[in-house]
Amino acid sequence: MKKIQLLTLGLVAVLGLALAGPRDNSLVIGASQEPRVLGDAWAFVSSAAIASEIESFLWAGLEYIDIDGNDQPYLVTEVPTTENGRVKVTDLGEGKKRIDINYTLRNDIFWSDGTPITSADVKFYYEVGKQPGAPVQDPTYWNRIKLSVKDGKNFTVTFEPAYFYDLVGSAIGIAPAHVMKGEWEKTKAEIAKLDPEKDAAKITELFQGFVSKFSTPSALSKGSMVYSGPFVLKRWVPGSSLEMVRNPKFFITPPGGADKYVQKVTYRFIGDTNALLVAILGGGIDATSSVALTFDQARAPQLVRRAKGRFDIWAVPGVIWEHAEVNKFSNVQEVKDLMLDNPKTRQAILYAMNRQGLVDAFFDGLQPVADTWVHFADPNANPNVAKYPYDPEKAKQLLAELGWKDLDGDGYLERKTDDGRTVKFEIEYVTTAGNRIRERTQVFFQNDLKKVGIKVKINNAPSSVVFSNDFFSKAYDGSWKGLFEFAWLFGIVDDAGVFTCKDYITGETFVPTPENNYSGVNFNWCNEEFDKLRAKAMIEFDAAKRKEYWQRMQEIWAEELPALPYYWRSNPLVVKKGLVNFVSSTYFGSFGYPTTNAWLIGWTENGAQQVFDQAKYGISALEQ
Amino acid sequence: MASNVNAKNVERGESTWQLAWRRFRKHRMAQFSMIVIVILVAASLVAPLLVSLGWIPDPNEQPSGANLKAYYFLPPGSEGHLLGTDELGRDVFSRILFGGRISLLVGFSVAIVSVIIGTVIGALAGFFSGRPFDFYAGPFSKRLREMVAEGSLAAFGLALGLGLLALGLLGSLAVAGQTGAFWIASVLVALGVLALNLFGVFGAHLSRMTWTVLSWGILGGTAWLIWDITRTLALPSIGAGGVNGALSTVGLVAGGAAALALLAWGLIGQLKLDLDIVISRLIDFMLSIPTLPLLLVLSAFLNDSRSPLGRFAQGVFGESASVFIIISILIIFGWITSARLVRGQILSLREQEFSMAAYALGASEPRIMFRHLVPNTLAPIIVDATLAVGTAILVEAALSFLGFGIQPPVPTWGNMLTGAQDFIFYAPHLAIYPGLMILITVLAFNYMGDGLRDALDPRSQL
Amino acid sequence: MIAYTLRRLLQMIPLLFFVSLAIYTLVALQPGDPLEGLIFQNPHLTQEDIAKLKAAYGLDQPIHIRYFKWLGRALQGDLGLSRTYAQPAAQFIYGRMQNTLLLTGLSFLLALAVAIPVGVFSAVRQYSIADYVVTFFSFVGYSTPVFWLGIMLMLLFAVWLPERLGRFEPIFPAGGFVSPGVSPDTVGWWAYLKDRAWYLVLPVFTLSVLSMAGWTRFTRSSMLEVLQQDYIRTARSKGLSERVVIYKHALRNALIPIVTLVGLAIPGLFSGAVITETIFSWPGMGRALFDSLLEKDYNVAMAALVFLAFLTALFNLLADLAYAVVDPRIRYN
Repeated sequence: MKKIQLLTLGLVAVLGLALAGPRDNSLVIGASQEPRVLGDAWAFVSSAAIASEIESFLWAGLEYIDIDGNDQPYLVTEVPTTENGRVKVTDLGEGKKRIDINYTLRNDIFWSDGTPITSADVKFYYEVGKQPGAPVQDPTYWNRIKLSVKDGKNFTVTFEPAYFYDLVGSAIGIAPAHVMKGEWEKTKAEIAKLDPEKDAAKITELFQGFVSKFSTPSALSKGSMVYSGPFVLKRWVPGSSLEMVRNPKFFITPPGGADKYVQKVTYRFIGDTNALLVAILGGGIDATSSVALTFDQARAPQLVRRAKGRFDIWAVPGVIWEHAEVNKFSNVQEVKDLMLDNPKTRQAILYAMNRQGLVDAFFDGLQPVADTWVHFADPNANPNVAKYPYDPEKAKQLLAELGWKDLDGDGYLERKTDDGRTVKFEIEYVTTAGNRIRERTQVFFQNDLKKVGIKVKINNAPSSVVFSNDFFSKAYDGSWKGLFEFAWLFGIVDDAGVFTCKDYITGETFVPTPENNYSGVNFNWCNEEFDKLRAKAMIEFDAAKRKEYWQRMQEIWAEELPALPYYWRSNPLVVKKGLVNFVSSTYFGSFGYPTTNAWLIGWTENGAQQVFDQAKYGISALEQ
Repeated sequence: MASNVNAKNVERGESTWQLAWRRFRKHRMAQFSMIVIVILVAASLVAPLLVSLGWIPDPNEQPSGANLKAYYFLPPGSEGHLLGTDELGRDVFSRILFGGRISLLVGFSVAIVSVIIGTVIGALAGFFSGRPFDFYAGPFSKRLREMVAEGSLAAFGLALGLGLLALGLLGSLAVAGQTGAFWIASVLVALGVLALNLFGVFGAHLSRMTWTVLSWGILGGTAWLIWDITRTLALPSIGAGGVNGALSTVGLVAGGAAALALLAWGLIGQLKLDLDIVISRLIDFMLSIPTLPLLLVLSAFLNDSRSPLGRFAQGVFGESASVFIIISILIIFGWITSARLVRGQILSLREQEFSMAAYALGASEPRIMFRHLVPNTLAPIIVDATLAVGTAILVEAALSFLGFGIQPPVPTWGNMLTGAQDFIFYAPHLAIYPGLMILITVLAFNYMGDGLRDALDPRSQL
Repeated sequence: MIAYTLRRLLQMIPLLFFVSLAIYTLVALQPGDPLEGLIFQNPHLTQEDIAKLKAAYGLDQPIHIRYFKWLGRALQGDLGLSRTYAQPAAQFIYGRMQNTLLLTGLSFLLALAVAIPVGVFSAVRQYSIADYVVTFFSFVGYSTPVFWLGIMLMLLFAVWLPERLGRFEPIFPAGGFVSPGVSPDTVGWWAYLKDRAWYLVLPVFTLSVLSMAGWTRFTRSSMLEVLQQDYIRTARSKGLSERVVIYKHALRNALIPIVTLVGLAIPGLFSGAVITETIFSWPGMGRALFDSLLEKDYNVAMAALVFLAFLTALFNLLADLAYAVVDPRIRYN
């Protein structure tokens, strides 16, 4: 959710002087958000999208997700798989498995100060994260992981219990031990003096204080950190810009030699997206970050008019899934009256919604309609699931089958309930007030639903209200009674946790009721087959088999429609003509960061060779 | 507000107010501003009527039908949309009229209530400066002890009255959300006040005052009821906020403030403190808090549906709860200026000969204060109130602009600008007009305040 | 007077205590807590994990305990660590403070430099056309919503005018505070200062308009009042030149109330900077405060608010003292 907010918040303006660009083989990127810290490998402080994007320039991981969503080796010799014998799966019974992953670090890798990158750096990362009291944001990961180092280049990562996503991307992080160790020993000594129960807050501050010595703007500008990525940070002026220059110690040489590619990269941070747009128009920016303009701003007439021959504007389908959640708690009177717990009702509603018409009308078709919660770019996507194209007749027919009829001739449907009352099909529709696109969507669907006899009652509130625990999680108590439109972010390692009723591995339930203290976000859709398939898929390390389970799950999902899928949001990307390999795809670097293969970014004028074609991964907003 | 000064002037054939009016008319800009204000108020008042007559679209109505895109961001002068449409295809002109209702509502309620509170506090602080505060000896100290000692009927009255008051307030909190419950609560509160009076709990003077308050309350209540009926029957599209909100807001805020004041009154009387020092410390305290950031913090907290006030406001006012909350917040900071002003005036007035003369003639303290001194501070109070309207409108707009003020879908000039900022490239008109309206309105109030100052200030020359 | 100053300084202690208590309560009562987003993002967190996280951020304690813990550390000069910036809150606010000081300082000087001469000029020529024009503009300036003015200026100088002139670059930048790669060591001091100045134009102007207008009006009326005094008439009748009368006798006395007003207005300038900094993406304290409230970075919000409160109390005192210096009639006891 945080990431969703980040992505929708801002835009970047770079008001730079026109010294950017091919002339001095440099690149100016505009962003509307600024990271607070960079290189916080354990996410003790923050894990903002903009930070991850910039970190791609500066640090290399063991593996990365390539433009097509596949794993690629980065600091290691090869991606561990069962085929190459680097992954060993052990069945522990009771639906639990353990995996051992053997990594070998490359021989030609160095930190930017010339120190070789070794297993000691991985071990250091592990030691800090494992320290009791560390304020890690994902405690389960740290509970499951174990590391054993064989020698300077070989080590084994063990997960117990293991899940499929442990094999997606790097299994463990890395941090320069020779730089950070001294400070860490001091911090550790301080922590040892404290009581982990009583002084938890103080310990958190110690951890954050330790990280800040190597990650804040002033620390990084002073050169307190070393880098493993294609660039090194030169200067970071908070509130303004961040400069990076090519890292001579970086081990990958792009085609034709590194000097043919961008030598200097500057991020300009301008929080106000209008100001950012002005800067783009002024020519001071060569490309936008993945956290920059809003979708509408990227299509502003001023920009489109001036873009011809100067800029390309792309819409890259992202991982943000706009949808409507449906309250399916039949103990809520309205839900029972409208039979929202019946898949047929939900199907009828979806048939009545002209989703293609909506994305055409509002987004020129640049944001694709979603069929299930799995993105079509996901290798596991099932293209053959039940789809619900706009079909008001079909919707009417389904509703009639459920006993709905316009009894009083007011154009809206009614039905007699079992206890003899007459109820009207009037459904509540909640979303975040002030979000213009959602408010438009709401009215658009209100019209569509009216055509089949469903009355929509709009009930919006500011996001702080609708996402508060008292509202969002209390659907069981009828805090919201019908549809609730918002967005989820589903990365490539999504485990369908949002739609799981019962986790057969841990035994937990994710349906928010008083019994489990309202935890979980599944608003009462319990499908045993789905849950069991998920439990199998979670511990299936054979990609082909998992795909099979995953595809069946999508079929069930599409048949049952626990939620109404609307569309996938697209990220706008503005790139100057002549800049190559600054491309984005749905899963590039996990979340579509155009900087994942930063060493390849360059200007054709200076001899850079094009490796990736954005047209393959996005839609040009200029040709619409 | 007949004062002795007035009486003298009437004999001369021209009252102070006539004289002031003559001076006011010399101030062209002020006169022009008054006309502007009258037009603005009239336009806001008739806006719902215009909607029901079909002359302007409903401010929250979004277009429907095929090709919705063609209805968004229409430029000013488009057919049927004088000032164009916004990002949801809503009519900008209509939204500006309805936004004006809210802005003026906020401006007037904040100015009136905070000036009343400020005047009372300032007058008391100034008048009793330099000695322990013993106005009516304090209802909780002397009188209470006497009653307990006597075991009089008044004690029973006190219990009954307070009981009903509490019941009324609790009732309205418990069943907040039902206008009916609100009415019942009001009646119970009124009965409580009545009981307190019948049994003479507060003594003769205060009884008379309470009677006055009560009769005004009944009059106001009837007016409200009439309005409520008209609103529901004749003007179904009144829109968010509305005059209903205005009246209940003023009533609620005044009620809450009165309850707090009563408590403070008792305490200060009991502890024999100098009210002036207490008030000065309080003002120092309030002025040391950085206003704008604190307003942000306060409104975020109060607008939250989980806070008690937030829940209460949302129950009573529904989607326009934030209007009520913003008004309350602005009043919390609004009274300070007028309190300081009135205190200063009273301090100097009470040393003047005419008040000495009143003392000598044996007039009671309340009489001297409210009959002789306060009317003489009326001129600066009126000027202050006029300027306060403009300030309140500006602050509301700023808060709403930052997203901490009045929440959508209720249109206000401030939150219209927030939305507009995202679209200044598509549709600059969305940003221009609401801002211009704020500017014109605030300018008009400032000019009028200036004109009033010239007219009412005896030192100013014609 | 030293005794008076000391007493006033002592009085600031309980005042700041109550102010910090009130602010802390309000900040801590903000809707939601810093972990809400995190919990929402990660549906797998167990109740136990959440409880641990709450403890890790000190959120498991009741508000009054948290306040006294905060106060205890604050009294030792430790305002805590920013949760989102991983820096000591005081150090972070101090850094941002410098940007805000530059902005407010320049606005303050600009407002004074315009308001006093224009106000005097307008008063001396009361009822002339120039006086009417000045009065009108000061009323307009006083009535303009700052945030709207900012947007309009941005639109004018960054979009409309460049478009009319057929160029792409904005005349004045719409946000930020320095061009990328511009620093004294890359382009030299002169170019650096020019670049900084270029970015300062719009925010400084926007922030100063309100004070400029207010102070102009105030100078005018204060001057008018003084000009009616007997001693001015005496000075005139002594045959002193109009210049001497106005600048030596009248202005000096008219300045007394202006000093107070201006002194009291300084903290307001800092508050007003919240809006200006937000519109122009200026990395100052106001914006930091605004962000910290949104992100529930309590330590930063507290540091900024308490600092502002201290500033307000301090300037109230300074205004009183300055008053005594300019006006020898005032005595303190």
